[in-house]
Amino acid sequence: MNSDDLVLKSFLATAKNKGGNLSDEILIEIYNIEKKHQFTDAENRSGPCREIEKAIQTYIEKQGG
Amino acid sequence: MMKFHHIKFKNFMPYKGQHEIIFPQDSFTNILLVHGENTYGKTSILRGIKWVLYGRVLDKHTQFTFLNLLNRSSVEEKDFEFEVEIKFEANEHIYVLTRNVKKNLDIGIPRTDSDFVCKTFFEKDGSVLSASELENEMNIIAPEPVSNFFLFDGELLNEYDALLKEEDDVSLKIKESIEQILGVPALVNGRNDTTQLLKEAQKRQKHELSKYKNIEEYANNRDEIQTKIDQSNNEIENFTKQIDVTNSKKLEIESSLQDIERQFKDASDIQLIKEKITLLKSQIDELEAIKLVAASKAWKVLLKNKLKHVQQKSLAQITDTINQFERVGAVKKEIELLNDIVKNNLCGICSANAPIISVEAAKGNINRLNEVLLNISNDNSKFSKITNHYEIVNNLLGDSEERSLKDIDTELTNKHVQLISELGKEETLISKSGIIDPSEIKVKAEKIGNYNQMIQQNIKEIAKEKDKIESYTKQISSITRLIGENPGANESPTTKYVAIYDILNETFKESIGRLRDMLKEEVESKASEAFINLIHRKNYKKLKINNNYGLSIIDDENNLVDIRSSGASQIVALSLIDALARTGRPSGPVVMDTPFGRLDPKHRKNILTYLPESSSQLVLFVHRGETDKEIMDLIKPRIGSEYTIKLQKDGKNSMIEIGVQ
Amino acid sequence: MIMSKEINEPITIGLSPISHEWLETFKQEKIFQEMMDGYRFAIAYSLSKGIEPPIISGEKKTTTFNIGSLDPKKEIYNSILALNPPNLEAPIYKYAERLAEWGVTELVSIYKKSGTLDLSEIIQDSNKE
Repeated sequence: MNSDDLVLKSFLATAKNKGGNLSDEILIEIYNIEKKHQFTDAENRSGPCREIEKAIQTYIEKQGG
Repeated sequence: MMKFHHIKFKNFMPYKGQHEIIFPQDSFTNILLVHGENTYGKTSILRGIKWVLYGRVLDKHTQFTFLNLLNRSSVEEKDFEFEVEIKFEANEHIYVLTRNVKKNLDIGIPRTDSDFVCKTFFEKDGSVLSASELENEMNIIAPEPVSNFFLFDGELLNEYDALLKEEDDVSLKIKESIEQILGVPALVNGRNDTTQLLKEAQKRQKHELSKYKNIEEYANNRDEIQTKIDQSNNEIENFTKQIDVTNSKKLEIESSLQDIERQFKDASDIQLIKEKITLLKSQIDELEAIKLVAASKAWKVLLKNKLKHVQQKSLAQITDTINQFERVGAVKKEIELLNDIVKNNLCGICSANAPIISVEAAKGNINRLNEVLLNISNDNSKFSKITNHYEIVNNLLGDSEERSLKDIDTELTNKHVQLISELGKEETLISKSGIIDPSEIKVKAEKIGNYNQMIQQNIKEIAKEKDKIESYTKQISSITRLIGENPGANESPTTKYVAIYDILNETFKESIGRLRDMLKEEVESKASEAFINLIHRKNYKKLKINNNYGLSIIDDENNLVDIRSSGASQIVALSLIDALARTGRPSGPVVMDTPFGRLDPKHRKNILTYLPESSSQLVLFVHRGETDKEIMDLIKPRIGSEYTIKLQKDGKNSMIEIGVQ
Repeated sequence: MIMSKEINEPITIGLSPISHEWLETFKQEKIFQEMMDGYRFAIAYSLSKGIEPPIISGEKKTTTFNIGSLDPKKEIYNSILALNPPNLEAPIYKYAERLAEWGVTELVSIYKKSGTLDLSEIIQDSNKE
């Protein structure tokens, strides 16, 4: 298994452990955003932050909230 | 899986004009061998691959400029354009990436990178992508930090040994690189991003729920704690800056201490050179004196040849004269004998009666011989003169100088040359050296000690602040939950955002530690697997990993192998590299320049058996000394293609030719 | 041991003023330790060339060397006799003076061309002839 899988595996396992009720789908989506921007430096994080915000917004709307 | 298809160079480093390498595509015959003697351009190919994939290439820690990458002959011919194109496949897509560099039109002779224009062309399955899309794609296919582990310069094997040292600056940097490869930044950034998003959501929540008094109180409390977190973060930033400043000062002093060490060495060298100079001067003086003595006798050497000629003539005269004397003796004896015949009528030798005819003949002969005698010179005084003359000339020739002027001159010249050389060295060293003050060393060493202490103190303070932040964060989480449980808050949309960001933030935080443990296990397992395949020692069982991804060898009695040979260290480094390459990305090509370092034939064999299996393509740059018959026989069945780097006819530039030359 | 022709030989031997100056120069440049060494070499140079040295006009000589110091073993004297026809007229040292004068002139000409007097090169060239 390469590290991509390991990172995702670790992330999903921890989320489950926390007992939160976020779906695997949204967790994977957020993880992929971070993976895509993993080498973007600290001064330019607004891009990924906005992407995550949008993803969460869509998720909440889908949940009916 | 990633595979290279071809790479093309134009005026890149030693490759003037257009050159191409086509990579083997078959999964069994997946070895590409590139032969070339040292300095012909093997490393330049590796650099070309790095540059085209990532837009930059480093030599140790310095980035190559465009002028460094542009072929020198092209510069001389004022052709200021170079280009590299690579075609590769990854994740079932075909990519073509081209970087072209040309000088700016309004620049005459370019001198810096800003005088050039660099254009990048990137296609995925025939469609053109933008520069940011290129970056995203490469981050997924083969992130730049990983490139050191698959675009591999064998000279760097020694650096990985530094990983065993836990708190070394170098090892921490290598650890950072490794963690970048292994995806840890995704989680670290995730934590930081969600912290920011959570703060923003909490602000919005506070504003929205301000009408609920108790919630407002919670929110204010949460804000106060958030302020404390911000303060702690600021403190951490300050302490980090202080560490950086202290490190720079420390480096400056360390560098100055190195200079002092060099000065000590220079001073000692200067002393030795001064002694040499004194000796040479004394030898020169001696030789000059010898030369003057030889010069006083040179007049004899000048006449030597002529005097020898005279000597030979004298000797010939002496021989002639002696012959003459002998002849006189013989004639006198003959006359005597003839007189006997005439007087006594008897033969003077046998005493028999001489016949009458003989007596008459004898009288005739006596007369004749007397005449002969008169003609033969028998001048003793003349002979005496000749022999005297010969002796004098002999004496003149006898006293030749002990050593020729020519030899003395040659030796003098050599000594003068040596003296000039030593004087030059002395001047160079004196101009470099300065006055050494031993007390300065003590002061500087103490300063370094102080700086180390300050750095450690700052590290402790940072750790304290981080502990505080953790505690504050937990408090905020609790308050957030309390807010969330409040009936008024439940209906608020911002509460949902806050709850989600809170969970995400916690998840990212915890998964970092979990990931590190998992990765270490994974890397340890893969590295051990590689190591067992590569090492020749049967009693080495596996590798054990430390916090900085350094590896130690464990033997079959579970003991740590303390001291290891440079060969074993290189095998451990190769094992780590292989493990990281396989953990950090899907299977892909491995390009190795001077892959064998100081490895013995057995280990080279093991590497060449293992590596083609663990990578999609194996590209090896080798020179003659690395490809003995046994090695070639081993890899021959798996060689997909071979190229040779040769010099072009001009003897300055290189070219790539298919096949073995 | 000496060859004959000793009658009426001078007890001193000299040089013209210019040649004297040049021998002094050669000494200062440490080509020769003493002027006498240069004088001997000049005589030998002329002998090696086998020339008939010109007769010296009545120039007043500045330097004279004592024959006893210049040629204690009569080696110069004997060399001149050995390398010349037997009918060479005495005094031999007078002849030597002419040889020296011509020799110094020639050595000065070599010195002016190359800036120095390389004795080993002069000897080498002479041996080639």
